[in-house]
Amino acid sequence: MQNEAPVSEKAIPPSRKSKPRLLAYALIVVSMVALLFYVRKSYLTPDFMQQASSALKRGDEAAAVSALRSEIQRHPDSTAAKLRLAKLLQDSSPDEAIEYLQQIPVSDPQRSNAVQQIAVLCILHNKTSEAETALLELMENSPDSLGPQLSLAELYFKNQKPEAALPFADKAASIAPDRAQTFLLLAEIHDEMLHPEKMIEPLQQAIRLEPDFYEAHLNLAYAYNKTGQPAMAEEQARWCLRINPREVAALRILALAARDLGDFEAAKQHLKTASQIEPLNLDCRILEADLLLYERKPQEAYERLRELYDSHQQTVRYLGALARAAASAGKRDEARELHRRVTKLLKQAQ
Amino acid sequence: MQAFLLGYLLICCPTLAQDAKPQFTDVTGDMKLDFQNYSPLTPERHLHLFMGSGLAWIDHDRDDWPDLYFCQGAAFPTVKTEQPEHSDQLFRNRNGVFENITALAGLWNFDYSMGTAVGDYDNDGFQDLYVSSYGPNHLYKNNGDGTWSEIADQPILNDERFGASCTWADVDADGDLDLYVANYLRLPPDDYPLCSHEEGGKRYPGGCHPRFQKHEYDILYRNNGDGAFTDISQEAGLMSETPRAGLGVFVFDPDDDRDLDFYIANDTVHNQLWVNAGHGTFVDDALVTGVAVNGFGVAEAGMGVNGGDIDGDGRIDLFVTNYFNETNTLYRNDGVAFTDVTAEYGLGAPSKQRLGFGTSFIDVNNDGWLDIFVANGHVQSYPPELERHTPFAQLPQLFLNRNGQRFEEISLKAGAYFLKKVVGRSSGMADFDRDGRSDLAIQHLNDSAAILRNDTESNNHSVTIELIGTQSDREAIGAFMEARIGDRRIVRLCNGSVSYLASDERRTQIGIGEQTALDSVTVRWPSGLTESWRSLGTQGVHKLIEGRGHAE
Repeated sequence: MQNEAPVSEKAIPPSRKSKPRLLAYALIVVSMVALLFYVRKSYLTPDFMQQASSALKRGDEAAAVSALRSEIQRHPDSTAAKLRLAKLLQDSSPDEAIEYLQQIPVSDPQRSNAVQQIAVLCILHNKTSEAETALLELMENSPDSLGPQLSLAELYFKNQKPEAALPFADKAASIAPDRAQTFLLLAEIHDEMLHPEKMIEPLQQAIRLEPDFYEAHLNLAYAYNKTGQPAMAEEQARWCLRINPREVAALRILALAARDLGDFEAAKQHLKTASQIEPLNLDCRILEADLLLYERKPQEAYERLRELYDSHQQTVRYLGALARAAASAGKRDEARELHRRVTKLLKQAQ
Repeated sequence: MQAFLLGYLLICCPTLAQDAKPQFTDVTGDMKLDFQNYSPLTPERHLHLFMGSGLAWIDHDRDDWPDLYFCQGAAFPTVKTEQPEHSDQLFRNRNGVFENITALAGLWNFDYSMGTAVGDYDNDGFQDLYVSSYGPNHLYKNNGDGTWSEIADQPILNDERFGASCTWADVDADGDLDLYVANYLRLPPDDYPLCSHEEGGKRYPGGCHPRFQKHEYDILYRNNGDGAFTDISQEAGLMSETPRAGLGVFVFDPDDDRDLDFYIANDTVHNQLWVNAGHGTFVDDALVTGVAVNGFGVAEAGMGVNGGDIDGDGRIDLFVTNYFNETNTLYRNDGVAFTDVTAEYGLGAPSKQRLGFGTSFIDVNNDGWLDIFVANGHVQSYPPELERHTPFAQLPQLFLNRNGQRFEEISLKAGAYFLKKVVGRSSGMADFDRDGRSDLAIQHLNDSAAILRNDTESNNHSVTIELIGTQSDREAIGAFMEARIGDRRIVRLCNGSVSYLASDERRTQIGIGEQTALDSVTVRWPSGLTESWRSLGTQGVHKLIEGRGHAE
């Protein structure tokens, strides 16, 4: 700019510089300067948002990210840029994405959208505490919305906090009473809280809503077994086996039900079928050993369990079962040693 | 095939074919037995107030009719009332009708009583009584003249830890009864742990989980033989491992080495089997013998315990009552170890939705097979709308032993008592009307006690045996009896305390089906002496005196 004025001064002879003319010149210069400013702003300053869009069209994500970063640097309050940038960063740099989203203020109309994205990202990347904060904010703003309630229930359940999950799952079930999956979640929460008796009603409801809901039937078989209703457990397990004849969990429940009802031959047959599908299934093998112990065949029980030693030598439940079979087979020293290991493993787990 | 099977059963197992219908009648009112348990629940739901109190069948006046002693609860001790109103009570049985003689007998006890141990500790021929408490325990001596005296010069016996079941047993075979007291939790009134549980979105006060509370060591007292006792818990080895939350105790000789061992049912932690190693020491062998945990390797909430030969193999099996969503657990004695056969014997599924306390091994139809009674009731009380899943009051249960192979629940056919939900706690067995059929008494929390008269009609008979020790303690607690009828062997123990906080009548009744006599009974006395008696008929009571049988 400093070079341009002298050039024009030179173009106009000094003799012609009267006062009014001088004023006119001055106005022209100011106008030109303003124009130049405008031109520079319009045509010379880059539009980063536009650049980001173009980059994305070209498939150049890195360029888009760069453009959006520049845009945010220039306009720290740009919600649109932050939302777009967070979306681009969600896989490669989730922490950064969350940080941009968290910068969107509570007063911003896009805040709810941002918090939703935060919640999703945090859940995906196991950031439990941040996810919880985001979901609680969403729930507060929209207490009758299914998403936050359900997500909170799932989040707590996944993180072994069934007591915390329960009220949200209950609420989610009341908000969307036609959603069968929610009732399955409720049942699983009750199971985690060691209340199998409370699993039955939600599972029955899930099946009423979706009669072919396989997981609900399988869980109901489990719940009936746990609450001492072997005939009902058998009915549900058989339903599952009609759909999936290779369902080992259902076969085991059938075996347990048969044992409860006193039909030991049937129990053994179900376990035999299960072992053909999953020869190394621990639960089935332990149940088989239990039946052998009942039949006063401790050595056989011990040997059947011993076959799984290599794969389960750190499993408390297995070692306990092996110890009991060993003791019954007269191997008291081995039983003592196995119990010692169980104690040690339990201490380590604490 | 089915016809063949039925024919086979008719030949081999006559009791199946001639099925008596077990029937009990609640005769509490008719028998003038008006005991009401008093254990007012606090808003904070102090745990011990839910645990109930025990009972004891005891022949206080030696008239051959079993009398009945009920332990009583008490209000939470925040305020000491000057004149407490609720004492333990003694009911005298006069030809099958009861009379409250607490005042006459001078047997007042205003503490929160828990367990009972009946035994003639001074070998004077009269049964004495030890009562454990939430508070100081008490030893009462039977004066033999219808009155009782508390032994006040033995403060060591007034231990103030929270005592539960307790039993007499001669552990050193010196001919007098020693005393084992299972202690529960440390719950001092001034530092009482309080907890709450969430239900239906609300928090409710309730007892704290026993596993996470401070547990108490059990106590073993040696009877010095001169009226004094010595606490030998430490030297006996009871403190060789962490304390446990003991509730039930059963004395027997599982390793068959002719001395007495103790099985302790502990709440939510490993049960213990204190094996008497001789020389006054005990070793906990529960883990390696398979009775510390259930078949899943889980320590259950052991409440009550009983023992007997369930399957006719001549060994004493164990049965432990447990918590809601657990099974009551039957441990079959296989000689070298025990096996959890709960599910196989049909006892698993029916007990999963019950919280069991008292359990009595009672041969209801005198077929020679021990049947099982279980008193049920929860320890959490919620408002009615939340009780749907965890009912406080629950149905009691009766399981019929089908020839030692399996149990069948017959509760709903066994009489009106079994159709009403109650908060059951202690249970004890006696033939109170001397009709040759074993009856039951049951304590209910904050409710009237019940007497169930066994009205089972059958052609079966029983033989009643009373053991009188001479070298052994006079009551012969822990004596092992093996009866024979033809090829059949029936094994019974002379039990110490059983069930939950309870004592059965000391006499032993052996059901013999339609036979009219036992061919023989061989008794293995606690002293080590083994001798037998022949041809014991169904009339009267056979008093077998140690040293007067045929030596084996």
